[in-house]
Amino acid sequence: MAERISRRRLLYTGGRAALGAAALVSRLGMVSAFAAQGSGSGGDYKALVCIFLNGGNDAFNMVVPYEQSEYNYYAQVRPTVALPRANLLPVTPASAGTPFGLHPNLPELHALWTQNKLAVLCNVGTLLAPTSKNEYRTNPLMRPRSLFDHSTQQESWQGFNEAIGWGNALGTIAQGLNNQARLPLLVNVTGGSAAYLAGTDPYITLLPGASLTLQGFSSSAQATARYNALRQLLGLGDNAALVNVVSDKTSRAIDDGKTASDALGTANIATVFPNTSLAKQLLQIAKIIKVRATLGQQRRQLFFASLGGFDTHATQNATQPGLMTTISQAMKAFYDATVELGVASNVTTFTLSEFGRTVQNSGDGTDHAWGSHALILGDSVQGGDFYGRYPSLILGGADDVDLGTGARGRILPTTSVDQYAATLAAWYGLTTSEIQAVVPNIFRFAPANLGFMAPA
Amino acid sequence: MLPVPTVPFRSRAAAAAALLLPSLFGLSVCGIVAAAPRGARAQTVVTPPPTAADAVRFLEQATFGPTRADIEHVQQVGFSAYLDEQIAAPVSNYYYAPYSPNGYYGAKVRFFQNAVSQPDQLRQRVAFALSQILVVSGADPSIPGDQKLPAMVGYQEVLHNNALGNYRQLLYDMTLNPAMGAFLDMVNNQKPNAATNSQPNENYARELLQLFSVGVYKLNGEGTVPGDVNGNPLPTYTNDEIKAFARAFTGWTYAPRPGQPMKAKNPANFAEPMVFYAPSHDTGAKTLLGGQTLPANQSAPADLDAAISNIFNHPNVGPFVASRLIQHLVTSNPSPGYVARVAQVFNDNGRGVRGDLAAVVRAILLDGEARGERKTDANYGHLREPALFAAGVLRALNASGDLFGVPEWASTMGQDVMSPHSVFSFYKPDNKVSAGAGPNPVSLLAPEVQTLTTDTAIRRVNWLNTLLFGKVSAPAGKTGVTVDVSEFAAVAGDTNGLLDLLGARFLHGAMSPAMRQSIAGALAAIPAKTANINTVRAQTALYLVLSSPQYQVAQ
Repeated sequence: MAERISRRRLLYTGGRAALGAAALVSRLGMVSAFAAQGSGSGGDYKALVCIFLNGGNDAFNMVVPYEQSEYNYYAQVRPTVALPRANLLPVTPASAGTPFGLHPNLPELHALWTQNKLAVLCNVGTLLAPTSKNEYRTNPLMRPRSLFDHSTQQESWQGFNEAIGWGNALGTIAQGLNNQARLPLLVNVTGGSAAYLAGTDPYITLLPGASLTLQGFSSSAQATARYNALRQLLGLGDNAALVNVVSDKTSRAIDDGKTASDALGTANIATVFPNTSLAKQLLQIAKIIKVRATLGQQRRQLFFASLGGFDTHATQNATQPGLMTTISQAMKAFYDATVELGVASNVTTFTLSEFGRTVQNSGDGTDHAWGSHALILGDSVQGGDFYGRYPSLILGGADDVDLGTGARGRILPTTSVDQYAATLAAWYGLTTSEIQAVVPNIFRFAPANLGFMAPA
Repeated sequence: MLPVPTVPFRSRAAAAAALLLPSLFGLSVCGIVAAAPRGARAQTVVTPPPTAADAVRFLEQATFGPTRADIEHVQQVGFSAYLDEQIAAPVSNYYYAPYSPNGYYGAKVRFFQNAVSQPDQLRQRVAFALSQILVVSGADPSIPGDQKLPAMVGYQEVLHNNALGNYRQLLYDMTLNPAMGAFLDMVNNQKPNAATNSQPNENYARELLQLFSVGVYKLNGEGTVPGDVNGNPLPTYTNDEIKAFARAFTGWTYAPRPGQPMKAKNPANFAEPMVFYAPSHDTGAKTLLGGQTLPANQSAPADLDAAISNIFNHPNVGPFVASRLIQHLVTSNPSPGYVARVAQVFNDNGRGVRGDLAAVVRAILLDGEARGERKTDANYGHLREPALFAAGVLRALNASGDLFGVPEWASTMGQDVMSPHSVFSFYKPDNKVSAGAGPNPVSLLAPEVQTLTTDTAIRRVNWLNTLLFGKVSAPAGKTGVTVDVSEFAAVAGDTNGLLDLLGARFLHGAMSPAMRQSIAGALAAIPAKTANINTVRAQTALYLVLSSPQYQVAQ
């Protein structure tokens, strides 16, 4: 039985431990146990690619109950958004016992499922500890901070320590493996915030198609003098803290921009990618993977991409299909690119989203809820199966934290984001104690490793 | 060829809002004489006229950027009188916003046209801040492509009309604004329907509380978040209350087009506020914040009005609005005392009125913390956000042209005006940076710095390069933007004179010796025989000063 929260109150600030950045670094240490690891296949290169689905993906329409009576209930409680059973792409996960169906607009991912490259992690969400419905209802201390709120939940999915994303924490540990990296290994290819990458070590933003070079400098003495003056101004210390922050960021941007621009200039990928925002981001990632040796990142890289539009409060039938098509085609193209580059077993792509949505519709859409399903893709993934437990969708039922006639199907997660991250971290090469530092609450959950990655 | 006229959007309350001018302190010129605040012993207080550096700092906060004329004017009449003039200035608008075939691009151009040249600078600045709190994004697919222009124009005009009015009126007008209705599903949100098993949409109710008024956690009067006995913050609302507000807000649809019949769901119409359709309204009782219950069988307008009041009167709203506006106008890390002083003015403007935005803005800008008491503090100031940076440079350099081509630059710098990625705007108010070298870095709020990434940082510098040395590209037939550096070229023959002017105009007269030396070095490398050498010297020096972090961060 889970230990009472009250004895561990000090560690909870809404599910995120209050470790300062310095404390985290000192706990992790700058020399990681990575160095003791063998080189493995492909020179032990590994990359994690996070795709954040902004807005709260309605995963109950992405992975749908297919068994007739379960499907009937699904269709009955969300009649305005339910998908026709005949259109679903059937999957038969060995661990689930009953059949399911993927959204009809995911044929590429369905094919990858049948090749055992794609896994589904069911009913995952933010949790402070394993929680029952009764505990949720009776003990406010068991509720993650600001459930159902986009920004807080996005941060909770993307970071376990105050102001440090778990991607950043993984990168801090992994960077020691790269020999003289010329750029941060943490790469953001999406515009907007990336709490997943934020932390002490800087990340670099390399938007597809962005101009990364300073303009207006010929090789004349005059231009050189102006450039030098600019660099001097950016290097002047100042009493004002924000001036120094801006100086630092701008200086790094100029240097990193040039390094990246030079390296990426010759990076060509033969695989054809669709012309969507997500696909362009993943193509950019593929290019950065291709030139990893030039960048001095032979062992570890870590990426963050995102796609918006998932907050389908209304007109869900008009918007969700396009989002599913975008995800399916982009992830398939990216997978093909990793095959092209010979790194299909070295690169793992996975989705996060700040919450799932209500089982019951509201008008022609769905509202904020909790447990959701995630996708993990790559040759090192033990695909073709479900992990975690697909919940009951019964309104007001055992898995719904809502009560009574107003119960809308806000499903209590049965797997935590902590376990999700810990499983990926283990594959990425972290030791148990390193994982404990990156995911401080992992000790509350079992198993720490969900098993969707193939053993090394 | 005449531009295609847009339908001017007039909020029904606009006329009423315009009458809400606060009573003004007495004023005169030259040795500013201000009547003492009400309640104090009657006396006249003579304050010295602002220095040029003070005037520059003030205009950086109160406008889209200082101009030579404005600096001289503020020095002449003083801060308080300048604010009076600004509050009374005619409201800039989006009438005849430039037509373009690309949806609402013309409205973005008009935004910059207004920011660069229209006199109601303070109102626009506050409206811009409010547009990042009460957010509608034109990029959202819920606003039909061929109606994005009237939708975004109408939304902007609600902000302009209410920016120096009352916050309650702003909340009310925004709740019934059709662009907001489309964006956050307030429009056509109907009472529970057993046949489709659907419940009212919670989107608007949630974002209204979380982002527009009270926020997720209870605040004390100085804007900080107290904890309970265990140190946990206290939520402001529960999910049940969100559902109650969602029900209270049911029953509104677009106004019918002229001559069209009223229906439960009228077709999209962004020219007028939304209207109610009684059968769509949930008439059950609702329990709102603080246990206030709306009785059953109230009309949609009555429920909406009471719900807005319920939110508006929550004690969080004062510190919430105060913190946000201070961050947008003055500094990212205000002292708790500063927030508290401004929040108190929100709570009561001195004449018993809650929510008086003109009074709040006056309190923000006349507070000592904005007027220089902290100007040398390590944690003072804020990064100029991209649109403010761009507009400020254009104002300072006397820009001319129709400004086509400018919105694109702000966009690549991280701020595509009117098109933020989400309802969370371009950056979070609680974005933090780690500042300070050594073992104990300080965590500082730095909202705008969230926009500063590898490519946007480079873009800021490249914008200056293109503006000063090149040509900002504009669509065919458009004049784009041209800047005028002649004022600086005129003194550029003398390096010290040029640096003095740049320091005075852009750095509050505080250009460090090291900075002077660096710029002088670049100027010295310009060959003596260069054509128009003084212009080239001015351009070079401006490029360096305006790229510098010392300018990028407004202190």
